[in-house]
Amino acid sequence: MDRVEKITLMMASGLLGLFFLALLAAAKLQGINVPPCLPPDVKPFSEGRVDTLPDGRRQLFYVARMWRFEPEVVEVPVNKPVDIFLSAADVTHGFYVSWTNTNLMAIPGTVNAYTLKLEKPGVYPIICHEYCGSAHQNMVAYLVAK
Amino acid sequence: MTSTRETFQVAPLSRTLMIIEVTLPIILVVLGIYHGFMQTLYRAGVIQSSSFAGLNYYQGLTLHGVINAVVLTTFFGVAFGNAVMQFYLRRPLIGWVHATSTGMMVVGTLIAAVPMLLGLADVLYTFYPPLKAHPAFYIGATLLVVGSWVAFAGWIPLLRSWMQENPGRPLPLAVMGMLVTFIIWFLCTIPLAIEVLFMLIPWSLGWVDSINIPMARTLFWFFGHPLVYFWLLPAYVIYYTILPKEAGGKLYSAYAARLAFLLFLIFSIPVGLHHQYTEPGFDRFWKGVHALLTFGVAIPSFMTAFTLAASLEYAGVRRGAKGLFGWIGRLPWFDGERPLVAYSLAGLLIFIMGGLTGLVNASYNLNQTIHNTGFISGHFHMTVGGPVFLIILGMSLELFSQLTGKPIRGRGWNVAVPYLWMMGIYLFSPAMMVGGLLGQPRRTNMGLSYLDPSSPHFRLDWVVTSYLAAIGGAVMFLAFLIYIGVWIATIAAPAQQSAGELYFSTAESLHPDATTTSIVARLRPWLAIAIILILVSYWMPLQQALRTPENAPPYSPDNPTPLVQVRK
Ligand code: HEM
Ligand SMILES: [Cu+2]
Ligand SMILES: [Cu+2]
Repeated sequence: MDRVEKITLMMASGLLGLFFLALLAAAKLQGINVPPCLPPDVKPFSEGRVDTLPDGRRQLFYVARMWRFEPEVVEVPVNKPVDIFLSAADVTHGFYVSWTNTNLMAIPGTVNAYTLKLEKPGVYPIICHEYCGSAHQNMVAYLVAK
Repeated sequence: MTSTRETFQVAPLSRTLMIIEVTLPIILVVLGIYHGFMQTLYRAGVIQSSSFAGLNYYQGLTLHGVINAVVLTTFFGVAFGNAVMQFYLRRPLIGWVHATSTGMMVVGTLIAAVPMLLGLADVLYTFYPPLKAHPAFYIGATLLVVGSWVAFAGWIPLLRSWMQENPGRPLPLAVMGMLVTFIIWFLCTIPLAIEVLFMLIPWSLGWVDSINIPMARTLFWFFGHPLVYFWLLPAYVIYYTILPKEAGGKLYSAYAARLAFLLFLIFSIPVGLHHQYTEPGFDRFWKGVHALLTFGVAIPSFMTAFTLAASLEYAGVRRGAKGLFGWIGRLPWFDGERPLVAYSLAGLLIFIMGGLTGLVNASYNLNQTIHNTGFISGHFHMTVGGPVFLIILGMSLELFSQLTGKPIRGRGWNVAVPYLWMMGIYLFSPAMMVGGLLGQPRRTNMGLSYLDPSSPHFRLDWVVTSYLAAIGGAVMFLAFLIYIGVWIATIAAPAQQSAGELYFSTAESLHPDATTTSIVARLRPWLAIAIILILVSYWMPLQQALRTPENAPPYSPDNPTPLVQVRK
């Protein structure tokens, strides 16, 4: 291969390597990550609920079903980590808390999980962003950060 | 036609079959594109209803995805592959194999079209279970895919006999490119076949009452990412062989082109988990491995960008360009006699952004901000809706013209199409992407809720981008209408040259090409690496999908009660 081509190949690979390191750094140092894999004995649930742990940490158990989320409106404290668990009661749904990185799929037969921290008070729509049937566009819930 | 060009005369049966292969999908795409434009209107709240002119939003979206991204691309891959094999290997296709393949593909398409048009398959082109379509939808799609396998199988004897006759020559570059394309296609449609034949079809017929959803999704994306390279690689073949020649130059390096194709072979499959970053059930480690390998598949695209730019620069300089950027002005951007140059260049200009946004999507945790938002649709209209679609349009018309002997009519209009499309895309896609960053979901009839001012869910912050996307969509729609006008004018005109004479202008390599002993002229070692990477990257994720605690019964898209009661 021509010399210029080899240089291009190296530069492209190097650049991509750099990008990849940046992603790892964001994951390890800033804790921005994709959802984890829960142990297989965590069974899907079919009723939504809000729990508060003894130390005050809020845990939200969401069920996505055609065509609503349960619970629908939840108040959470500003700037405190909140654990989210997500199950689907029927088909596949999406779960996207507007303006955040909390972007999850609700897959039948599984439990998804993420930790969310809302930094500003306000109302955050949670949008179903995976097509789930004819009334999919009406599937919204709200988080109220206070 | 000058007689000095070495054309290849297609046999009458194959000629008829190939005309069907290029025209049938273009006819269907009229419906696909119509609904693309309609989608932008619904999503901007211009249409605030669940259906328009008898077509439901999600039914139309299913047709849009299936026709544009599956039917058109598969037919084109086969038609163009058929043309490449005949022309470069200078051997006729085996008639009955060709007829079987085209027959299966046409029948499969028609079988799948019926439930889609009747609204019995509103499951979108990814047909994620547990939403269930009519069994005919899955069966038709299977026939389409198997028909393309038959076409591929039919090329093997031709390849064999060519290699026997030409022991000292590496495969012609275009042939090698199409061969790699179809090896990828064959490998990746195996998991798809497993999903459809062993999970979806028995389940949709009621023979089993529930299936493992994460497993079905994993098998789907095992297929789904290589699918995009099946779309893209025929366009790359044209970029590497026809474009440099038509632009007036040479291919900078055929050796590098071969290497690029082989890198696609090894990297395009073991990456499917990048569509599943936001799903539970897989270790972060394996998601990370797929992210890394996805970055690997960007390398051959960077190489292609370099090689093509260098080839075009060479062409510009040969045409008398001066200075660092003078070559750009010298390229035959608007030459009506070389429409493929216009289609290629517009496609490349779109693909710059398509490729870069693809890197964003691939970026593991960065995907958390954009997964399933409008950003994704914005991105892939700059890939499959950009270079892929434009090359398909340009080449389909060219093939039609060669197969029927009818010269293309309206040549000026024809070369305006890709640039107009590009302008539309460069309005539509950024609007969709900014909308996505503002949180707009994809696959959503937003006119019924988020873009309806009387709805409690109305989102004022989404209005501007949705309207801009609709304007972009209108421009794209207009470009496509002009294209259809060119087709009609071409069909209406009398034949002026002998029908069925294939000819592709082909660039020589500026730097030395590979010899038969070079590593880039051999497929087997690369195929072995590809298979090892697939096994390594998918072994654990498949195990993890198998551990899903519960299976799911089928659902109809308009009813929350399952179609089958599962016995527990
Ligand atoms: C006038 C031209 C087009 C317009 C205005 C258009 C518009 C759109 C819009 C707005 C969406 C998103 C709908 C939603 O998610 O709710 C979409 C989806 C899509 N488009 Fe297009 N499109 C056009 C042409 C094309 C072409 C040429 C292709 C491919 C060759 C294509 C492939 C797709 C695919 C695969 C989807 C995803 C479908 C899904 O999510 O199930 N589109 N299009
Ligand atoms: Cu939903
Ligand atoms: Cu992909």
